[in-house]
Amino acid sequence: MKEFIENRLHVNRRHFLGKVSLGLGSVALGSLLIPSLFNGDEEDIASGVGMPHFAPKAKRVIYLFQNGAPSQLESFDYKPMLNKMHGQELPASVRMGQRLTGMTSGQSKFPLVGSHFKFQQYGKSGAWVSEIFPNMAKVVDDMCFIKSMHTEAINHDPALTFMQTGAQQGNRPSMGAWLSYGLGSENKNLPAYCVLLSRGKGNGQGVYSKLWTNGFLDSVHQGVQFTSGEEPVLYLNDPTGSDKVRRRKMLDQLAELNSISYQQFGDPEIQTRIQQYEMAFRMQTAVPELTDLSKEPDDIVKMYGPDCLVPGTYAANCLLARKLSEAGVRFVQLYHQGWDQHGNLTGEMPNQAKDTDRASAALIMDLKQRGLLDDTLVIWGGEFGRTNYCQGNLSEKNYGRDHHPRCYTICMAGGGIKPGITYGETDEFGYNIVKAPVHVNDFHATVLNLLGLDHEKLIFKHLGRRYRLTDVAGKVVKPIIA
Amino acid sequence: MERLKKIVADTVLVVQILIAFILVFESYIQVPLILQAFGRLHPLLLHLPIGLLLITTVLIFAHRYFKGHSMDDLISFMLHLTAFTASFTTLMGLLLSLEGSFGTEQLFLHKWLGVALSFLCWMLLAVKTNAKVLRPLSIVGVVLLVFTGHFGANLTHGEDFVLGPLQKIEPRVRIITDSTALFTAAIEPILESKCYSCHNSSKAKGNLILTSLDDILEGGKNGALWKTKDAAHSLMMERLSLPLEDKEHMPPKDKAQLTEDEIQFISLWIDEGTDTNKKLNELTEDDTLKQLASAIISRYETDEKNKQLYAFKFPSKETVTKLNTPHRTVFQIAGNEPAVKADFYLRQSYQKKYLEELGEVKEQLIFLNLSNMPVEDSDLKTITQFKNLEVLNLNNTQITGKGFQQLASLSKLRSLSLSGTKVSREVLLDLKDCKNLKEVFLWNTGISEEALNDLSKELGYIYWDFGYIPDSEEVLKLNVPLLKNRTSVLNPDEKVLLKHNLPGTTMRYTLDGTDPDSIESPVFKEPFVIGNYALIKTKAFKDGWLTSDVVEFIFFRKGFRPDTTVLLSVADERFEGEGAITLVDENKGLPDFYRHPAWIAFRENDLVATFAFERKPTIRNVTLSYARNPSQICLPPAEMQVWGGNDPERLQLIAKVNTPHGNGPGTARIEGVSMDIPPSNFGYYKLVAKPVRKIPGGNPKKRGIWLMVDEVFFN
Repeated sequence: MKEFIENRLHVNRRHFLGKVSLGLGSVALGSLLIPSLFNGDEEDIASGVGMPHFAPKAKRVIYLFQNGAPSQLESFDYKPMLNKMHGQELPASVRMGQRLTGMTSGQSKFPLVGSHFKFQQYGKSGAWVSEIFPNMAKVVDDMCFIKSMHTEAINHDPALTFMQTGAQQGNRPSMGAWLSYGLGSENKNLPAYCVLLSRGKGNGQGVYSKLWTNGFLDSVHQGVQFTSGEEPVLYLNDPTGSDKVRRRKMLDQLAELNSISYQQFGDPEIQTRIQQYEMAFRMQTAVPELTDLSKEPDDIVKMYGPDCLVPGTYAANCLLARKLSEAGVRFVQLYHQGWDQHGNLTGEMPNQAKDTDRASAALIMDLKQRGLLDDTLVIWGGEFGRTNYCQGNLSEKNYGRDHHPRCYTICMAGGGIKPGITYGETDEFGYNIVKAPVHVNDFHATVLNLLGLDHEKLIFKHLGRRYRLTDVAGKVVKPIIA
Repeated sequence: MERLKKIVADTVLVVQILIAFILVFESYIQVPLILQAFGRLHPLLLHLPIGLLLITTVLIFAHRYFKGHSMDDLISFMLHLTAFTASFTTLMGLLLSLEGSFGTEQLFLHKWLGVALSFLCWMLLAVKTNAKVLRPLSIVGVVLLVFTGHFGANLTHGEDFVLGPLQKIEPRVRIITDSTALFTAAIEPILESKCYSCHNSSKAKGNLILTSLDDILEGGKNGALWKTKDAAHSLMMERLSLPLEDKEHMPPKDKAQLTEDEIQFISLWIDEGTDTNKKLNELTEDDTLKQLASAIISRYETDEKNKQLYAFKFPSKETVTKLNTPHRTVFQIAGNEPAVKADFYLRQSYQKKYLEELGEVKEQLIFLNLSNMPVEDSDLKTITQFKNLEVLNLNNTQITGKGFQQLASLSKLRSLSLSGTKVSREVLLDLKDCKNLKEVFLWNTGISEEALNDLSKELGYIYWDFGYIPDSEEVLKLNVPLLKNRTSVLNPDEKVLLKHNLPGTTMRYTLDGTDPDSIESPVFKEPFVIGNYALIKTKAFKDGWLTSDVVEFIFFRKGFRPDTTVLLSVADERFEGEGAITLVDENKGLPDFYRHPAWIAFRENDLVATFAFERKPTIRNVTLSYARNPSQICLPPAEMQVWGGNDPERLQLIAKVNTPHGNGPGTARIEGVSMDIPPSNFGYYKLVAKPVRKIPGGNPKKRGIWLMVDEVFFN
């Protein structure tokens, strides 16, 4: 019975044609009439598998996810009006009755609060950056700030899931998995999609493996989480008493057994498993080359900050991300926790910024000086914005900000993004978008476009319907593409 | 009846003569409006003669199956009807053709075949019912009908109307590169989308065909499209700029109109000399023509699937597959592009021939990444065969730049990455012949600042990227030393191994709890041995850097594991751990998370436990591992006693220590009380540890103080 079910579930077209002799005549006739009818490659190209649809601008992505939602009002979206009206009530005409989270809906007052940190303009582009990001301020001319991002979710988990998978509920493939599916792996010795985690000192929110899931795609496309210890990938060394030759032999035998069961059941996951074993074997040489920090010159340490030598820090992850990207990893996803400043914003945010600012800027400079920024897209941002009014007590020196999905700022650099520009605009209260809104779906469509993929054509049929990263929406934001 | 037939026959004759007249004087005839309407009925009427001729032919061949003379009469009657409708259809068709809105070739064939057919129909009347002549003539008629009909249908429905659905539609691909002619890149797409539908070779309204350059230059019945350098007096501009309501305005008002910038662009192009060969790259960026063209090009490129950047031949799928190995990946850059990129991975397994093998895609290779590979100057020769190479990445290779002159033959090379190589100023000057080179990356090459300035001066058209140069004013603080040992519990022979990932860093440490200084504290050189318990404080020093913070590591030594452990007192019900076994399970807890099986806690009661050793090893030291946490009020025991003996009922006190709880750090950590005892090898030991009951200055929360224990070690 089990065999029956497996057959029913996994027999694919090729299998079917190969196995079923009944009706073979008509198939032969069909292919005579229309020669390309059974040409698998054409189908693959049509469904956008393995190759960009058109010439890509970016080849790789590094996504520096600032988990917890850093306040746009203390980083890049400068709103002097809030300082002017500090402590006054948020005008009803601005809020227009829009929903609040359960955390502030009980508040009787919504006092506006201006940034505690000073802003200044930097670079030729004159971008406004707050004083707690002095290093990112140095690379503003390489960056594009999107100040008009907006999302549908108001709480961390759905918002994060939405940013990563294009749906709030989870179980859909994440962006990296879609790219791995659409473009394949660039370096066959490493996973196409790697995930690196770090934790700041601020109030944190969890990250879960569902954020880098392959969803309904083949499990080769799943994000591979590296550990934050000295050895990012564990158990790479052969056990004592075993050597490479023996390991090779063992894998060959294993692959043979697996092939037999693949022929029997046709389960694509078996093929995935064979491939994963092979990759793991090659990772035994590829990863030590990557994680070897001894070849990095002193300047690199100065650039990223000495934290980059301490495994598991954001800086170390940025450096590793550069190395992975350089080695052809399609999508490197970083998560840095601790950006959820409901209270004690003035205490926590400078520390969060200190942990990330230098390394984020260094990553952009480092890619640039190797000639890699042209085709590597770097994204920095959180899952939503923060309110312009204070959550909890507004004291002289401290305040907090609640979740705000209606506007937030993310920035991108490299990979075919126009450098040194700001796109979109929020009102002077930093509450609503007044110009060029960019929805999460639009953001996804744009990222796919930069990688040479048409978001409407990168599809996967599952449970009787076709799925896309952007599902049924999304418009490419052309003005930010160089 | 005969009279009627006569009238019909005569009418047909008259119409035939009229047809002949029109054919001869075609170009002199001005068709009155009323007749134009009459002519336009042609597509309606033509179906009558088609049907009639086919039925009549069937009747002619079926003649013998029917009896009597009426059959002859019927055939004759049908022939008259056929000829009558056919001649009028032809006449109307001719009138319609005079309107001149149709293409040439198809119309020509349709017209003359139609005339021939109507003439044949008239002839059929003349031969009456002579079967011998009628049969072949009617067959000829049907054949003529098929061809006339075919060409006629092509005019109204377009070619391939019937077979269209069966044919694969090839999207028109326009390849636009820098060297594409302005005309092809910007004007053709406008014409294609807004003019081709009426001005093509099969439907050339006004005798104007716009689908090929030759036809455009030929112009239409009103003459040439443009006067070079005189847009104001060019026919095309006149038609485009007439008011929309004007009959002469083009495109007709119900069709898609040209946008303002398109009209402006064409006008400017005519004024600037209608050079159909002028290439995009011959125009400067601030040229209005170029700016308008760019807008138009991008407008018609909206369907990116059809936008192709490279014109060379596609590499064969087999070749690409064959070239892909774990050490080298070769891909087409996109499904619709023949261009190929190649990357190399795994330095250890690199071989020279891997690069040479790329010769199979030498035409298509535009992107080559050899970074971190042991590539040498001699390999440059291999690289020069990739004529279309645009991006070359040689970061961290053995390249010194000898032979860079050869790169001049790579006329498309625009980006060259040399970071981390040993190139010098001299060899970089050899790049002056790389005409298309736009950027060179030179970070970490050891090139001096003066040399950089020279390069920027001498080869200013190239962007020389020197990358990050550290701010000499900025002094950074070193990160703290790292620990290589995996846990804080050392195996019997294990040594302490400190590590700092920045080469050239000195680490100094102390074992006495004081902060290390830069002069007297010992320098960590090699792994060192510690006793049964140690608190190591260490920090890192390096010239040009601020000294790191102090970091501390606390170590315990894994010792003899008791065979039986019995807890004689009652642990606090909130932190019971797993009972007595928690003390000896070699499971260390986290310093600030106590709801975990690793921890067992005492507050009202003392910790009292016995440990049995069947083999009676010699014990010299007992160490208790506990948590110190100011915020949770966890402190070391106030007093600790060790009892020993071979009879569990009669143990003797062998050592006792009072530990001042002292001041720990502000944060939680795991510490130990290490008690050396006189060497003994008893079968049983008892440990008594008393929690602190009072702190001088009062207990702020009046709750008592925790003794939080995770392990006891016997050495």
